[in-house]
Amino acid sequence: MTLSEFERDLLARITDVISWRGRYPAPLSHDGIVPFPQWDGDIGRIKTFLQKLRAHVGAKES
Amino acid sequence: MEEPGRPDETPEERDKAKIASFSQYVLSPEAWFRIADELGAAMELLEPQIERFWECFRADAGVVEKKDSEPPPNHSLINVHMMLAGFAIENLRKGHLAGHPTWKERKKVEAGELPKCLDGHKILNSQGGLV
Repeated sequence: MTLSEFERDLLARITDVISWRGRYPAPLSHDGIVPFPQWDGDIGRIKTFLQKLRAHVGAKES
Repeated sequence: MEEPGRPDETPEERDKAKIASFSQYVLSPEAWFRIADELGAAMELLEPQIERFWECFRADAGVVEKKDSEPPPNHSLINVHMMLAGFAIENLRKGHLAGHPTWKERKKVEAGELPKCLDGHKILNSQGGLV
């Protein structure tokens, strides 16, 4: 599946959140302390991406 | 859910049944997609509070007029929502892979082990593409 620049940025931020931001107060090392943008349109962007991925993998709409 | 074994079942038979059940779940795209659906439903529960957080944020920044005097939520829940999205993406991707296993991957699952492609939380590869 081809990703746009924006989708890549979104997935990179999601990766960061899965790795620590969503569940721990700090990363494994100080190297992980970097600026982390959050945008108020992220909910919509995440929904759009999930719909695209669902269509790509053949998952029915829930 | 694990089914109760027969009273006269041997440890080998019990193990065989567990492996059969394991490989049935692991190789079922629908099973992975169902978890993605549940995670999506949990995300939806968080969305009103996240919207409310942004509304208060915009009002505090003077971008929009304050509509009411209700205090802002204690937690934005933005990161928790994103984490659930990440797990949903992971399950959709793994469901897709589970439907097209290589011969080697299928053999591993049928031996009761998770193949590497279905392990971990990685979403992006080193080239910035979807794993």
